[in-house]
Amino acid sequence: MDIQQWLVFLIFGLPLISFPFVIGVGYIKKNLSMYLGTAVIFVSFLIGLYVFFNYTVNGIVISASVNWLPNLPISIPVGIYADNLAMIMVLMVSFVGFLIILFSVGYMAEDPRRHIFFGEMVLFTSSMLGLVLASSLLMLFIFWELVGLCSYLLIGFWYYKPNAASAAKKAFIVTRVGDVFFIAGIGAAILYSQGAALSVANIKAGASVIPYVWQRTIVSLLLFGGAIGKSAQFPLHVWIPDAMEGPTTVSALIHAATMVTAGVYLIARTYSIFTPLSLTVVLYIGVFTIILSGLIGLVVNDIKRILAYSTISQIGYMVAALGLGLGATSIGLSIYQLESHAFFKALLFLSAGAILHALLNTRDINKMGGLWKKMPVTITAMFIGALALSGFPLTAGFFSKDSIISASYNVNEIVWILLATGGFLTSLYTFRLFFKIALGKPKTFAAEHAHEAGILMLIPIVILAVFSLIFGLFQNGFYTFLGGAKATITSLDAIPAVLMLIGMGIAYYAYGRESTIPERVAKASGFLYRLVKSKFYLDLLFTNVIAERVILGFSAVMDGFERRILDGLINTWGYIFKNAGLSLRKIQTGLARQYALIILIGLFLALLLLRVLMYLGVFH
Amino acid sequence: MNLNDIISGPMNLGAIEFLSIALLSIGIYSFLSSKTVIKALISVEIMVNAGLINLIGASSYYGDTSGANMTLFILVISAAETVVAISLFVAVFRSKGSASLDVMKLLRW
Repeated sequence: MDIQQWLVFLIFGLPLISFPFVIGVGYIKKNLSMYLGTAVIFVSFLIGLYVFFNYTVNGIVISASVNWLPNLPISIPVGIYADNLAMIMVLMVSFVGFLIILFSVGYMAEDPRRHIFFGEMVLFTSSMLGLVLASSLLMLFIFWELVGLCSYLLIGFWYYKPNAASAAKKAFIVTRVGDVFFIAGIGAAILYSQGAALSVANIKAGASVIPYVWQRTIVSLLLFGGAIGKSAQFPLHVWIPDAMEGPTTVSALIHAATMVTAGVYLIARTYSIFTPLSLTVVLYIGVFTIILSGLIGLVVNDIKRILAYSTISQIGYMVAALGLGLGATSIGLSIYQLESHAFFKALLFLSAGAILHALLNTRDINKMGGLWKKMPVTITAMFIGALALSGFPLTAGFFSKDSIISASYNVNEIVWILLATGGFLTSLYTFRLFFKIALGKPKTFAAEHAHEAGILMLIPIVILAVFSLIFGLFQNGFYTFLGGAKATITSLDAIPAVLMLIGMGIAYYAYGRESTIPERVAKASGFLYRLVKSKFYLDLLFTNVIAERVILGFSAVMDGFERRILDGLINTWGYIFKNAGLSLRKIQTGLARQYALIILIGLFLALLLLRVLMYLGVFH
Repeated sequence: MNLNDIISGPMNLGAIEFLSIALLSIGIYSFLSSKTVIKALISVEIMVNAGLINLIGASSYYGDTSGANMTLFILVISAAETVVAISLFVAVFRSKGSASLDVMKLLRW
């Protein structure tokens, strides 16, 4: 292997090796593990940057794989595969990961278990980088599970809070539903292609790795099932809002910027095997998720949960962009949205973290207000983030999201209308959140006495704010790098922007000043409001009906089957032999003469039998 | 040297078999009816010897000495096992105060 391949291995290998040490030094001095963890991710980012620039010069895909189990008839490559898509993701994950870990140094400075936290963050970042660079679907799946594990550990980091513990469990179980589909998809891919489709390079080379269209449809839909679980699309989106119980930096890194986009990355990675039918499913799931979570985002009051629903809806745009079925252009649109979303959503989460830090973990936006004067830098950065999220012209979100909306016009006009409506909803709930926090009068004592966060927390926020503003500059270079068509700004692009401005105006009219409009609207819409407020009863459906009735009922049946029938069969045999023993033991008297008599009778009978058999001619 | 030369005259295998079966039946009856261990031991010896007579008769009838050789071995071994049995009975007698066969009927401790 040459130096380039070693360096690519080091990108995720270095954090993977050093994560025990990050925890270990924490037992000497807790702050050491914060510095070591940050440094490790920074070095990883620098290596990624170096490899990326070398790559842009050479343009040779860096790949190195060994066959994991050589004795098997199929080959399971384990190694790295760094092409354009993976390179872009590596840069984003390590850069955003570094900024968020830097923020955590300030944010978690007083937590007594911060060495564990930093160790888990480093493990997460390395698993995410490994997921991105994996050279086979199976290896990708292993890292996929590792990031799921880290997500579980970090959501439940404050495990003594019952909400956090149950949210961690919920996240783990719900994503597990998707993972079942994913592993079934891997199995189907192996089955249909004699193992060739395990390799990422083979999949990228063309759809013919899996011979028939119906086989590709099955495999791609199963893989999309995995993506639904991880990327929180309808109907498996229910875990993200609960996952907000974890530390805010965890929400920023895992549930906004990187891990939840792993599903999108998986679809982009295996894009060649998606057939038109499965792409249609992908498209409509994405569009439906956008509208659904956008509506729920309008009525939630928890600052982090609003951001969580907006994450679901923005990932919906990425999924819908892939579902448009424009080939490399689709991947370009989707991954560009992924990256700009990573910047502005991490920014929003980090500034929310700074606000929570200042307000003693008050998460209800009705208890905030007037914070722009108290925390000018944070709230200004948040304003930039909100503009970028809702797609204000010339910010990152405008270039990424409006390109998707415009691209959809040529594919399907109904989808175009729905996506534009989604953009309107996005700006409405984003600025509802923002105006309630920033404007008006402070509603509580904590909000009155809020103060700016420390410099260590402001640096990442400012860097991310700058990226959210200028990321549009890279748009065309980005599309070209991923092999898609260049974006052209047409008059169509104006419509989402105008809708966004209308949404912003409505939000200001209703929430930016003293007003009773929200209450009146809520009252007037009656049933609809209750439907949205209760999250379309989906959580209720999953918990009370599916989990408690169906799954619990099913497991009760299985339990009864095991106890009654399986155990019953075994116990019956035991009972038979026990009772047979009880009656048969009576012939064992211990009297030697009786035994002798029985032997004699036995001998007599044996001889008689022999004689009879001889008579019958069996023996001679 | 052939066994036929020692026991001269025509061999009557039927007579020897009859003797053997008669001794075996006597041994079985006396074992089943014995109450003391000494009598049981003697009955066992009678049964062993009945078998040996059968063996040695057949050996001389067919003119093959291996039956006679085996008989000698079995005689020695049964003498040794009688010694072991008697010493066990002495031990039982010392601990139980009796050497009746029915005393020893406990199958576990």
